[in-house]
Amino acid sequence: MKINKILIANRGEIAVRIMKTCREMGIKTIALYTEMEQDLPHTLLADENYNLGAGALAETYLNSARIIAIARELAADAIHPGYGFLSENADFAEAVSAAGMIFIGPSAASMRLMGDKIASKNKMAALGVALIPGFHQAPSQGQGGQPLDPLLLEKEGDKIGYPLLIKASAGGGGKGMRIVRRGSEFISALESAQREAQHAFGDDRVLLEKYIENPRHIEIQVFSDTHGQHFHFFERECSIQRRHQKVIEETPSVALGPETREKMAQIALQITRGIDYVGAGTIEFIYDTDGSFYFLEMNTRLQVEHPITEMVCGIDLVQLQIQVAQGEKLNLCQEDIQQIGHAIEVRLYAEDPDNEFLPSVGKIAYRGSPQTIGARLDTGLQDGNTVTIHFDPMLAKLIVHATDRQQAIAKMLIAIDEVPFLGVVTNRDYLKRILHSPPFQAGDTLTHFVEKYAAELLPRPLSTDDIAKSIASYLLKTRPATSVTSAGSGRVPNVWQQLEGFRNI
Amino acid sequence: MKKQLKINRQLVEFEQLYNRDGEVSFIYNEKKYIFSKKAETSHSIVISNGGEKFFTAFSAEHLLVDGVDVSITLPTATRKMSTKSSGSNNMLSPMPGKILKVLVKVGDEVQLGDPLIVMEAMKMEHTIKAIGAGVVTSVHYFAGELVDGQVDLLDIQELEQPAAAEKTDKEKEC
Repeated sequence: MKINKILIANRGEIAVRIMKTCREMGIKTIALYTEMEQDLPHTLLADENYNLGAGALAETYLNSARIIAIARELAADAIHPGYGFLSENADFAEAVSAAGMIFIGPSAASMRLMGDKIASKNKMAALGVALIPGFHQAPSQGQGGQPLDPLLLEKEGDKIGYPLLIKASAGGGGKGMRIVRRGSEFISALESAQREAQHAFGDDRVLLEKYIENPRHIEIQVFSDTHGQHFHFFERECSIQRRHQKVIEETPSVALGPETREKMAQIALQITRGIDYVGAGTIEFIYDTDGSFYFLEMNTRLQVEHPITEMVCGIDLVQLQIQVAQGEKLNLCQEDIQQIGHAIEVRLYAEDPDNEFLPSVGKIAYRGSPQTIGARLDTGLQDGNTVTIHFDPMLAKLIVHATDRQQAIAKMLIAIDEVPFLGVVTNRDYLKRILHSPPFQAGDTLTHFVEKYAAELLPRPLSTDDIAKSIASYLLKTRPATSVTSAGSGRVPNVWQQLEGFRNI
Repeated sequence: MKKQLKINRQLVEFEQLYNRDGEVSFIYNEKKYIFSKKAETSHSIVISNGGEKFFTAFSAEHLLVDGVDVSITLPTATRKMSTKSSGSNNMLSPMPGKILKVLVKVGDEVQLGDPLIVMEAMKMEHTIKAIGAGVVTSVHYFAGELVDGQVDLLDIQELEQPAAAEKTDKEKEC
């Protein structure tokens, strides 16, 4: 069925991103927006828009019944959920279909399976996909029942191999956690972990897991149509994270050689075939230095970082999503899908990396646009828009494509200066520090990069030259009043500078 | 003419020689500089030092100077220092958000670093902690309420003037 009109059940940069493809495909779009988003690009770019009012998220972007009613009223054929919000909500997907429209995404069954941590891991095990080796004490054992024999646990530990991690089953916050580096240390580590777990949680049950010392987060982009064709679009490495949120992603990964890459991709395809998947998906793996990797989870939607795949593979993933939703057979051949060059994405956030990544708010006076060839800015903000506390602090994604990694880094360092987002405190300088740092340049991108190299990522003091240029800029810029003394009046609100009398953690 | 600016919160002194017809000259750190404006838009200027050119974008106190983020204010526009009467503390919200939890009640004694209120803003939680020992004298909000930035959340009567509170203030400036 040909789709003529899509309601986008999302906002910001991803809504704009989807609209761009719809325009190219001659599909009309309906945007949703709230009272405070009237002047945002996603509201203005759509062919039609609908004001959701000023309620909480549950009444606006998360109100599935209301969104479906709006889509029907405005005669949409399909709903694109973007990422986040309702994108992985199986009930919503079913309700959209029940209302006679197309949900642009996988089947509700796939979403349910992958949304369930235990069921998905069981399914993966049944498909022969490697999970992080471990031993989990059954609920019937331990507390209430007989505590497990330490020697039995030790035997399980030997099976997993060392180093391994002992974790409290009731766990959290590192309590009752021990890294065991050799078998001879197992029993003493177990006893101390159990004591700590008993003390902290009143429950001394533990689980054992292989300890991955230097993990990387590597994921495979997959795509399947309704005609039983399953494709992959290679990997993305997203190891650079802060507060468990990705900040820099790239493809190809420096860690993968051709063989491991192919092996990982084939496992991804084994999964999509094994669960009869349809649409765009991402299979996340945790990758160990020795080349082994384990299934982590599958995201049944378009990822935030999808543009880097689009750039190296020369495809439009949103277009493929719409084609699959229309029931088309994808005119692709796996051998023709190639990784060309290197792409990097950075996420610009309204936050202060030098003050515990606390979010900032304000009005964007000057955003800027990348002038560099091969650079792409995906954003839902333009000059004059206000960054509020009501939504995610991500301002934009800046993506560059170049012939190799070194050139991509160099290009990113140019392009990132072209989008200053003046008016809010951003993590722009911090991203530059990461890109400049020797470990990043050497490809030592591990999931604990930000913590491990914290000392190298501290702000550097301004050079004498920087200060001279700053003085010149200040004196030469046309000021609203002639007197220098009036310049302090136009201060941009930086909530953290106004912080008084308490501190945040 | 000696002038001062606060650049990235650091006091910088220079001697301005002249500033006319789009050209400025000053002595900073015992070195003489001459810069001239080559082009200007509402939010940016292109500046030359006679040889190299660079780009500056600006918005009030925030500037992007040749790729470097700087904030420039006049020395008089320094951050407002605490003007609170000693002996009591009003705990202000750092930003607009939602109160998730109020962990203390009137009459509670709190110690330095005790969590008082958990707020949520931009999908992240922030714990507001006591900056000194004291007794909670009033709580102005309940869990679930939305608050603006800079509003009084709760009041604490200090038991003693803690030196640690001043230290915390300094830490924030780094």
